[in-house]
Amino acid sequence: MTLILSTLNELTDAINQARETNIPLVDYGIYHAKVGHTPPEKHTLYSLSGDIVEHYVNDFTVTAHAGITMGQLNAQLIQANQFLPINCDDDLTLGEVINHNIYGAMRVRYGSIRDQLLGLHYLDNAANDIHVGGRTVKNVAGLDVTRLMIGSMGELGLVHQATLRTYALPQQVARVDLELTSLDNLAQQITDWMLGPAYPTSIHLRRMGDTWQLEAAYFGNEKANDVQVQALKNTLPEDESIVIADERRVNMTQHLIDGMKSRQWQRKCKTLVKIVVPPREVVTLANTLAQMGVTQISGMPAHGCLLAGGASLDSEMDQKLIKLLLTIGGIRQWITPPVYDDGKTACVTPFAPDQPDWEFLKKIKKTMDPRNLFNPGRFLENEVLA
Amino acid sequence: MQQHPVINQLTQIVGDRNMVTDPNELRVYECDGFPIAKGMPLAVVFPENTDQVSAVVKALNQHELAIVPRGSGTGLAGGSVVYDQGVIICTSRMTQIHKVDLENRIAIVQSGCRNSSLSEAIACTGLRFSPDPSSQRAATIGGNVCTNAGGINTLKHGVTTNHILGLEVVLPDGEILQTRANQCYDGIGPDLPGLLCGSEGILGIVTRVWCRLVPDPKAFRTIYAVFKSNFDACKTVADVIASGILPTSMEMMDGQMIQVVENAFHFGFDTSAGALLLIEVDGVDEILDDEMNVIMDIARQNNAFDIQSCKDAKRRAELWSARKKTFGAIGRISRSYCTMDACVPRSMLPEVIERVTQIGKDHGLQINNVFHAGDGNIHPILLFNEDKPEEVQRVMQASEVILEYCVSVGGTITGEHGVGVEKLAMMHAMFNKPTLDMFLNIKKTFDPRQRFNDAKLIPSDKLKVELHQAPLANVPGGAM
Repeated sequence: MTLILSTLNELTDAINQARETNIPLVDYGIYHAKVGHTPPEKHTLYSLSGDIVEHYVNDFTVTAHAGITMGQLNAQLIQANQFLPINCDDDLTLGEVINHNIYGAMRVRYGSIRDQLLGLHYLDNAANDIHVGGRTVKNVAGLDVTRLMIGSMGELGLVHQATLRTYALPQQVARVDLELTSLDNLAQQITDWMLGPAYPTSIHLRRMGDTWQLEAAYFGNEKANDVQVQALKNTLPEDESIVIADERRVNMTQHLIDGMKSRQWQRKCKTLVKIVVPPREVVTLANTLAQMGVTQISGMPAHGCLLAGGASLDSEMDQKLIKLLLTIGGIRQWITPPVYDDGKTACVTPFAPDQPDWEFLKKIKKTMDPRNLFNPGRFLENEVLA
Repeated sequence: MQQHPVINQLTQIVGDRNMVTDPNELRVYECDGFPIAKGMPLAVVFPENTDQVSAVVKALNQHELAIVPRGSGTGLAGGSVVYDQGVIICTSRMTQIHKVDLENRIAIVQSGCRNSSLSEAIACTGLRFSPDPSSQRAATIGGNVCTNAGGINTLKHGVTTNHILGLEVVLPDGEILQTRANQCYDGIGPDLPGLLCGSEGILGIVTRVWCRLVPDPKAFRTIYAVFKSNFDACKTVADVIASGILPTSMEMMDGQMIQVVENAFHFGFDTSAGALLLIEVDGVDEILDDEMNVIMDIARQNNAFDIQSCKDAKRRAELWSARKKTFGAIGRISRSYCTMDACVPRSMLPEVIERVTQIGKDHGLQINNVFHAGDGNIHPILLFNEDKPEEVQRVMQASEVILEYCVSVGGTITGEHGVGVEKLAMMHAMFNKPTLDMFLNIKKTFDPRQRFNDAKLIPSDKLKVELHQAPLANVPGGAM
C-alpha cells in the first residue's frame, strides 16, 4: 500500500508512526524507483501530492509543495509567462527532482535545480519542520542545507516544500538538429559555441541508429534567435562533418513536450545507466559505449553527462565501464539496473566507483536521520545506523 | 611572558617565516572587515600546502586550542575574529593555481589564491571565474567559498556556490576530505560542497577548490540612470525584474553615496541626484540594444531625469570602477562604518529602502546605501565613531531593527557577507529552534569538540557573543 500524503499533519503523523513502529518511510519516486539499494523488507511506501503555495510573480520566484508534479507546476507558471527550466517528465514531482538532482539540456544556460532552489521545508525524523534558505535570490544565513538535500535521494529528511527561481518564458525556441559523422571534434565545437554568439541555451546529444545527432536550441525572441542560429551556422566545419539535419521554431510548451517525447525511450529501456565524466571525456565515453554495442545514448555533453540504455548493458559491460571511469574520472549510477531473463538482478553496484566523500556522508546521514527512517540504504548502504 | 609550547611545534611545521607571534604584528589580525568585534590571537600560522594545514590542525588539537581559519581578512561579519588563546590559520600563502583546464572549463586552485589572480591568469582564454565580490583584489577564493561570496555579476551569473565543483577540506580532526571532484559537474549523493560553501569555516578549512569557469561575455551595454529619489530607483529595479529581463547587474547608490564617491574620485556624477542606478546587460551584441531600450523606458517611466547608455569599454570601466570604489570613499568621511547585508524580495525594495532611511533617522545615525539592487541585496552603511560606545550601541540597535524588518517582509539577515559574530543574535529571528539545533548537530558531526571557528554562524551554547552589552570588549576573552 502507498500512503498519499498531502498536508503537513499527514506527513507528521506518518513520521510519528514510523518512529513508533520502527518501520521506515520509503519514497522512491516514479522515475527513480529502481535507483540505489533495495529498501528494507518492512517499510511504508508513500508519495506526496501538492500544489503551488505562492507564486511571487514580480519576484520571479515560486513556492510549491514537493508533491506537485513538474507538469502541474510549469502549466501554472506558463500562465504568468514564466517557467522552470528543468528538463524532466511532467509526472515527476518537485520532490523527486530535488532528491535526485535532475537536470537536462537547458542546464547550459539555466543551471540545474542546484542553481534554482532558494529554500526548503523538510521534516526531520522527530517530525520537526525545518526551514532552510528562503525566498530571496541571495541568502547566506545558516548552513546551506538546501543544497545538501539536493541529490540526497530522500535520505536526510522529508522535503515537503520548496522555493525556486522562475524565468521569463521565451517568445520562441529555435532548434537546430545537427548530424555528426564523428564525435572527434565535439568537445572543441561546444567550447567554440560557448565562447561566441552561437552559445546555445541547451545542447543535447543523442545516438540515432549509427549516427550522432546534436540538438542546439536557442531561447529568445525571433531576432535574437535569427542572430544566434546564423552564428551557429557560421561555425560549422566546411568538411561537412557536422551538417544541419533539421531546423524549426516552436513555443516553449511544445519544446517541453518534444523533450518528453525524446526521453520516452528511457522509460522503456530494460536497462538504463547515467554516467557523468569530465566534459572533455564525454567523447571517449560515448565512443566506448557505442563500441560496446549500446544503441541508446543521449545526454548533455557540455556537462559530461550521458544516459545509456539497451539490452546489451549487463554486469560485464558494467565492469568495463567502471574500469574506464577509473581512468578518465567520473561516476555512474544505474537508473534501471540489468535484470536477467530469470528475473534476477544482475550483480551490479548501484553507484560506482566509490567517491572519497561517501564515508563522510554516512556520518551526515546518522546526524540528520539517526533512527534511519527516511529511505534507509537508498544511497548509503543499507546498514542499521541507529 | 613564557611562550606557549604549541608555538615551537607550529614553527617546526611551517617554518619561522610562516609564523606571527609578535603582539604588535598580531594586532593586524585582531579583526576583519567588521571592526566592532576584535580579539587577539595567540599566533597566526601561514601554511603553504594542505599537508601543513593538516599538521597544524593536529598540533593545535593536542593543545586543545581554538582554531580560526582566515583568508585575506576581508570578511565583513567578524567571521575570522579569534577568541582568547585561539590560533588563526591563514591560507593567504597558499596561492598556487594548480591547473587551468580549458576543455573541461575548470580551474583547480589552492584556497589562498586571490579571486583576481585567477581572473588575471585566465583573462585571455575567453573564460572567467564569475564570482566578483568588491574585495576581489584581496579576497581569497577559499574565503569566497566560506562566505559564499556574491558580487556585482551575481544577478545573472550566480554566487560562489554556483561556480564550485569540488573542494578539498582539512577537517577539524586534521584529516583531509575531498568532495566530489574528478572534474565532474556532478557527483552522486548529498551535495557536500554545497553545504561547505558559506559555512564560514566552522566545518573545516578549505585548502583546494575546483572552480567552474564560464564564458566571458563579449558584448555589453551599460546604463546609467539618475533619479530624484531612492523610491523611484528601487521601483525601476523592481519593474525591470518583473519585465523578465535578467541584467548582469543592477547596482544602486543613494544621493549621499553619490556625493561621497564624486567628492573622492570625480567621476562626473550629478551630486544633486537622489539615487543612481548602474545597470548592465550582456550577451549577443545584436540584441542588446533592444534590452537596453526596454530598461531605459522603464527608468523613464519611473522619473529618471538623466539616462545615459554606453558600450564604450573605457566609460564602462570608469562606471564600474566608481561602484567598486564606494567603500574606499566611505573611509574618507568616517573612521568607522558598519556595512549591513540584508536581502529582500526585489518587489519589496522601494518600501525597504524608505524604511531603512527612517530607522537611521530614528537612531540619529547617518545611513548611506550602495547595494546590489537587482538581487534585493541591500547594504546600508551605518557611519559611527568607534571611540563613542554609546554610538556603537546605537549602530548595533539600528542594525537589529533593520534586519528584523527585512526578515518580516520575507527577507534574510545576510545575502552575502555571512553571519559571523555580527548577526548571531539575529539567527533566532530567521530560524526556529529545531533548525538551529540541526545546524549545530551538523557542526558537531564535523567538529565534535567545537573548537573550529566556534560560535560563528550558529549561536553556540558554549560561547555567548553579545555585541550589544559591552561594545569594544565583547568577544569572549575580552581581548577587544
